Amino acid sequence: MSTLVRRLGGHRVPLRPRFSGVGLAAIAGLCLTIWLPLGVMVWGGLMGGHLPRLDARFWSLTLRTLVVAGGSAGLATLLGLPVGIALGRLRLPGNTLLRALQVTPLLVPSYVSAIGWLHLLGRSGPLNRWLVGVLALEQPPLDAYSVWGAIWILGLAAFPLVALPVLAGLDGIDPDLEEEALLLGSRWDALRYVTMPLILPVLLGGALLAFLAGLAEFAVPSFLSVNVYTVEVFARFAAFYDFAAGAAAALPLLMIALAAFAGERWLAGRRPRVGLDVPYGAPRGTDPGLWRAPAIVACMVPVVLAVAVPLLSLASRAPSFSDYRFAWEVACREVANSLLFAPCAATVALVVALPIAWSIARVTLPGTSPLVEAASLLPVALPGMLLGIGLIRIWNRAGPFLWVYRSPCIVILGQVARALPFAVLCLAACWRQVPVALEESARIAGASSAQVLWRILLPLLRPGLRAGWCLGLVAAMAELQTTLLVYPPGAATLPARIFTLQHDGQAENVAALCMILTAITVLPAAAAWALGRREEEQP
Amino acid sequence: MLALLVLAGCRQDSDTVVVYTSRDQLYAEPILRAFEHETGIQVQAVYDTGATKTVGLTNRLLAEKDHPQADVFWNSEVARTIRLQRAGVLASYVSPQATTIPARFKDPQGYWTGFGARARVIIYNTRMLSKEAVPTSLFELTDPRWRGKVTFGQPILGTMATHNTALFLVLGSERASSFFRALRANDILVIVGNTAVRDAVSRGDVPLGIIDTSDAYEAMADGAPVDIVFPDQDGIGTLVIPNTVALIAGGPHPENGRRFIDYMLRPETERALAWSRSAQIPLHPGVETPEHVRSLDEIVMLDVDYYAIADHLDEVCTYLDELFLR
Repeated sequence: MSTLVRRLGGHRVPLRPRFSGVGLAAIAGLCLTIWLPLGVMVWGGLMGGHLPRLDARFWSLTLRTLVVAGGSAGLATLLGLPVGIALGRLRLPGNTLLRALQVTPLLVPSYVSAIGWLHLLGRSGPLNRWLVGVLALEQPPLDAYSVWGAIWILGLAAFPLVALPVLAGLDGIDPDLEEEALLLGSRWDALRYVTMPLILPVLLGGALLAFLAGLAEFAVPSFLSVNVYTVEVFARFAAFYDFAAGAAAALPLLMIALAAFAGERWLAGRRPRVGLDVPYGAPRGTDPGLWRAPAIVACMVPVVLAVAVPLLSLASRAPSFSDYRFAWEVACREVANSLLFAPCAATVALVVALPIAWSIARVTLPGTSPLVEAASLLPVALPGMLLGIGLIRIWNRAGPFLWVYRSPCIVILGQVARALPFAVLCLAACWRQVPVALEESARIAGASSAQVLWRILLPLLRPGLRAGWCLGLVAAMAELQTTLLVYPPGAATLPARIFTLQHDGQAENVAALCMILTAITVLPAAAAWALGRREEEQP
Repeated sequence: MLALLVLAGCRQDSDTVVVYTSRDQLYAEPILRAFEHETGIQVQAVYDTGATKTVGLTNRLLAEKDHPQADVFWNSEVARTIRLQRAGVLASYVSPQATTIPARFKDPQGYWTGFGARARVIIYNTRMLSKEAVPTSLFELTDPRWRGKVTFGQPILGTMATHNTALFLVLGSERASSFFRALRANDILVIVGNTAVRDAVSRGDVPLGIIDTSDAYEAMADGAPVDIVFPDQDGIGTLVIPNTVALIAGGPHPENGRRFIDYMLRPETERALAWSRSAQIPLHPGVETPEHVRSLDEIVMLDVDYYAIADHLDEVCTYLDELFLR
């Protein structure tokens, strides 16, 4: 259908634009940052004749991959949903700090968590020794080298991917809707019949992200000897140096991710979106009363398990100030690089995400919105190694391309690819909550597109922009696989340094650097979050 | 800011050498800084770790082949260096410092030269096993008393793959296949790599592992309760794997690359590596080593050709992939 146009007072006003230059910008942004390098690899895999055979090994790998990714997403949802609701609907002291702390599990490299938990849960680790002693067992009952060990570690690491979108969704709900429900019923009724249906789309979106993150995870399954598709892809690259076979081995990951996305769309697509009247006030919390302390503890337990336990386990050998000083001396350059590159990447990702989120929220051509959303989210499921080789193939060529390839920009491009899905998710969820009527009214009044964007949309999109930038920053800061493949000399990032130090056996310094990584990500993210909330709460 | 970052990539300094190294940064960096101090040539280094089986750098060098960015590749292993040679990534350079390095550890045309080697040994936890109880041959690891008590790294990656391919060449396909099937049947624990093996044995998760001497010496230097046995000294011998250094074909600073290679192949550099925490075995005769480090002439070496290993790597890895990684 063509765009509908109505003449009003001499102005041509497009109502519900179907497609435009913004949509083209969205496609260009997606292609340049993600799909061009990945597409080169995937196409190479298809053309190389390495399509996976549907044999027993294929089904065994597929089942194991689904169990690890699905199990970790389930655990992340079990932990993340209550945390999100507690922080979004209860008046807890230190709410801003508690919210910022929920980000920290995303900052601890997954392989560091795996090693920390192995120290604790190893066959001769303290937990097994204690259980053997207390229960008089012959064999240690816990085995970290298992699918369950992988689910535990990945689920803990991914729960913020559920908690944070739930928080953003709750922040965006019109409090009048819940207040009306409270007039008619109890708090639980309001939560069950009003709040939960409204946040179900973001909850499913977060669970999908956690599933995709589990699907793309390499380090944890590799350390725990759990053979999943990412380990298979790594083996194709590492053992056989066959780029086409490695890319082809990733195709089942793409199929699984597509199926998961389609399932999420089917479950969430029919639910009503959160409505929003202008202006909306700051979300109001309920005083938890006697439940205040238990609620705070409940919000902290997942963080402690995901961050403190593995880091303390690592640092238990000999934590001292000298470890921090040595860590700083060996990695200060990488710290500076991370502080420079990751915010750049998060900002670029946000800019690229804007037209993509618009396309998802506003374009009404049948199938376009899910297609664009899938195209922006699915790369989360693909191994960073694929993206790295793809970036080399695109940018390592004569001419201006080399200027980018030899510069830190190539690292930032890899980080943008990791940050973009999170920025898109947060922005699109927020954009859906902005009534079309606001834009239409502004255009009818004569505002240009730029004025509509700057004066109306961006202020209303602040929660999404804030959440998208913060989550994008976290994803960019933690990016490792692609960075290891493309960073030019002197442009290594802190996760890359942590990775090499860990393999050098410097457990104390690794723990110290992880603390530093946590701090340099939490502080700017918390500052951005608090600043944004203060601006919103100003009259 | 992005423009400034792009401009950073435009500068091409002639007094520079770009080194890709899979040697762990903690050990490589002091040597690179010493080279800078002595020659005034700035080293721009890109690091990987042996733990990632040089995946990053080898794949990167292959992907960059048409527009090389590196001058020198310092690899902690040899078979993948030969693979790069076969792929046309390397250039020939016979360093004058390589004269006294034994012929088996260098390419006759100078495409790569070995130095500072490691041996593939059995590591054991001294709190769980006495020295007398430790197997002295790899083939004893298939004994039922070691069921579930032995670990090794992924058999198709890194020095583990090199070692396994060497065994296939020395034992023959039938005997080697039988050995690996017996290991599988004996519930050998397959974990990600040498570092993980070191940590697993140090923690006491399992009492025995197969590992490189460098990783074992690191654990011992950290005070871990571990020791090593050089397997099959009365039989086929122990595999020795050298570090390798190679000039990249078409690199941006070939002359500086040659100077760097000369520096790396000096006996003084081998001495520094021998006395480092990871204790590499010198290949130059007469280089002093710490007391606990065996010199080359004290090791009965597995008699195998590195080129044959490189040529049969894929075939063996395909078999072991099916056998162990299901």
